[in-house]
Amino acid sequence: MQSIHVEHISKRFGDTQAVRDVSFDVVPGEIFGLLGPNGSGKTTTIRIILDILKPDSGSVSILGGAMSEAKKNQIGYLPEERGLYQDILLDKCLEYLATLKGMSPQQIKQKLPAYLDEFDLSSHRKKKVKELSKGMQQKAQLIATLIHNPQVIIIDEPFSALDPVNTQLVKDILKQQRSAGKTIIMCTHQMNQVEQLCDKIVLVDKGEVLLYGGLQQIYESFATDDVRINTSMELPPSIPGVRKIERLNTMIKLEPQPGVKPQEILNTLVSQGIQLNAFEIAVPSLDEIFIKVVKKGEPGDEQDL
Amino acid sequence: MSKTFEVAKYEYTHHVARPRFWIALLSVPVGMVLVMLFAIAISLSSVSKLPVGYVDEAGLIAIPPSFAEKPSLFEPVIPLRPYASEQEARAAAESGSIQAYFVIPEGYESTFQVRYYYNEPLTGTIRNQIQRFLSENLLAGIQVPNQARLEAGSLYTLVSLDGTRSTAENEISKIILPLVVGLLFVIVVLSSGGYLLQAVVEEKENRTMEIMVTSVSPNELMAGKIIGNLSVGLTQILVWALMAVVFVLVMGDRIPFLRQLQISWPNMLLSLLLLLPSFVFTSALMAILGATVTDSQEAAQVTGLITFPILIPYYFFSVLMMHPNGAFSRALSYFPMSAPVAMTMRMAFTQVPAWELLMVIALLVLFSVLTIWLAGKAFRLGMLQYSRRVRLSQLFRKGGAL
Repeated sequence: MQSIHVEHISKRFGDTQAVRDVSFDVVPGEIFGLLGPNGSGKTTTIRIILDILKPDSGSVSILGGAMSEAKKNQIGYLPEERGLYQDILLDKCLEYLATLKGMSPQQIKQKLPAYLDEFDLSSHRKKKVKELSKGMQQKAQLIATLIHNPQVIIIDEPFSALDPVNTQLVKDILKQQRSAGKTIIMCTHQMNQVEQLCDKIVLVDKGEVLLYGGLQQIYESFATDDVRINTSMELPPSIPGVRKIERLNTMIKLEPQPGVKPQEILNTLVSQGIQLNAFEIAVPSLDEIFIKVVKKGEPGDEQDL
Repeated sequence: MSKTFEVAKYEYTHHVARPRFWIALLSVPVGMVLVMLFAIAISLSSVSKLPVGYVDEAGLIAIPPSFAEKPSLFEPVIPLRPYASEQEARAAAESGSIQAYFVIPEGYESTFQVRYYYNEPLTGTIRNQIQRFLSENLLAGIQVPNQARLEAGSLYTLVSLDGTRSTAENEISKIILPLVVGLLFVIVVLSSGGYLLQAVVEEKENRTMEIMVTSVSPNELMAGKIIGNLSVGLTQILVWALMAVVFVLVMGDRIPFLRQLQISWPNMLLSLLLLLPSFVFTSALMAILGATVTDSQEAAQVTGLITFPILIPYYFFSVLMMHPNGAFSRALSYFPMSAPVAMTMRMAFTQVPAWELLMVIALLVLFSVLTIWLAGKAFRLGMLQYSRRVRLSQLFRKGGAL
């Protein structure tokens, strides 16, 4: 049973079609990547899901129906435009935001110290928010997103201001939330994070869905017979069965001729006495898939996987 | 607990817990007390406090000088000291132990002539004291009906020939209170409205709009903000009122103006009926401004657009006082932004027809509803336009951009 069901939503601002016929489902216990270049319609889609904006057409169902005031307490949202009350103490700010999510003072008193400890902000709780670094403010905002134990978590670029240590911390927390059965939508440009975290993605560009499906399926559908090798020897100018040789940073990419399998190329290389330090099937990275799809993406080229 | 209450509580404590709120709050009464102390110091330092002697050659004085009322803070009580002969009184004056002396000569009962010899000139206060002292002795043992009224003179009712203006002189003190209360309300309305404007702009500046609207409904948010900031204004009024009451209880009978003060409760109630919708109307206008501008600096620049029309009647105070039923005064009291102050003034200066009052109150309620609706729309339009201004035309466009 999906927690979020987006069905053919469209939204236009003046002459700009921000979102066109976008549909997808997100289920509990899943981290869902909402990907797309800048200005592709990701934030508009999120705002429609959260009922901040009304779609021109289509519908959204969240936690089994239309958005309501009661459901707002079940949603944790980290918007792209980070915002906290700058001129008040950190703990007061978080307490206020938590009360607006329906938490009682007792519940806040119980949970806030643990979250501040987990995010290493305990020693800063009596500082004004404006005195905190950008990274600290982002962690504080993540606490505000999670403290009320929401069923649906929507986070926009959660790693943007974080150092590697805090990035790992947030990744671990997101994995915990997924294990706890939460529904998570994550917007990001950092494809390596998507590769490590997401179970399913939708790629939108110019307001349209270009790619939608499970990450594994997407990899498989974009997989080729290209291989990557590393050798300290000089390669001959041409290798039988290889259409193109491309030098990467430390690796060499070999594109086989149609019908030639990676195993045959390995045999050829060995038979030619080339000493190999590494040999691997060149699975395309999500970055490559993203660029390929977006560059190719003309209206109507949607690939639903 | 309702989220409206939580928002209101946050808005209230956000202002009231700050030292600068209390500094601003207390600076007004403290400033007034300082001005008053300065005035007392000036008036006391400019007059002599030495006694005035008297010589009773007429054998008139049977009752020694006494002072029923507490002395005014602004005028010192000058003791009146009897002397057996003019020579003695003169010697005392020349030695500087008294500032002056007066002689009640024989035949005073028929001539009413008093001779006053002085080092320091005769002041109005001393003249009044001598007057009361002599009258008391002249009328000793005689029962005169309405003696106090007779001494105070006639009461005048001033009516202009065209009948548009009428004032009873003894009602002047009734006029002052509504004017002061009106002014206090204006201060509170503008300061509360200012806080509200700031609160809405801060949501934009802090980029918290999206967090807020995914936690509470825009209506709950705006209601909470209005209640919270109105409570801040009411706290101001309550503290000031409390201080005023304490001041009147402690010092009331020592300040001549406060002795005459009368409260016209019907006028006060009507002022309240006018000022309540006016508060909502002004708050909603402030909220519209807050939602349409981009930052607090810009908000401060445009606040004048709202405050100036509200204060206009004070600039035309004399016109409203001289011609409270004239066309200009009426126009000011019908225009929603200037209506609360202008109508309160007219009510102080003349008898405003009931239909006019009802019409203006109805007009203010109507405009309040309209501006609240516009404020809601401006809020929804403005909340996501962090760095862009909302144009006025967008507010009136059907459906808006959202």
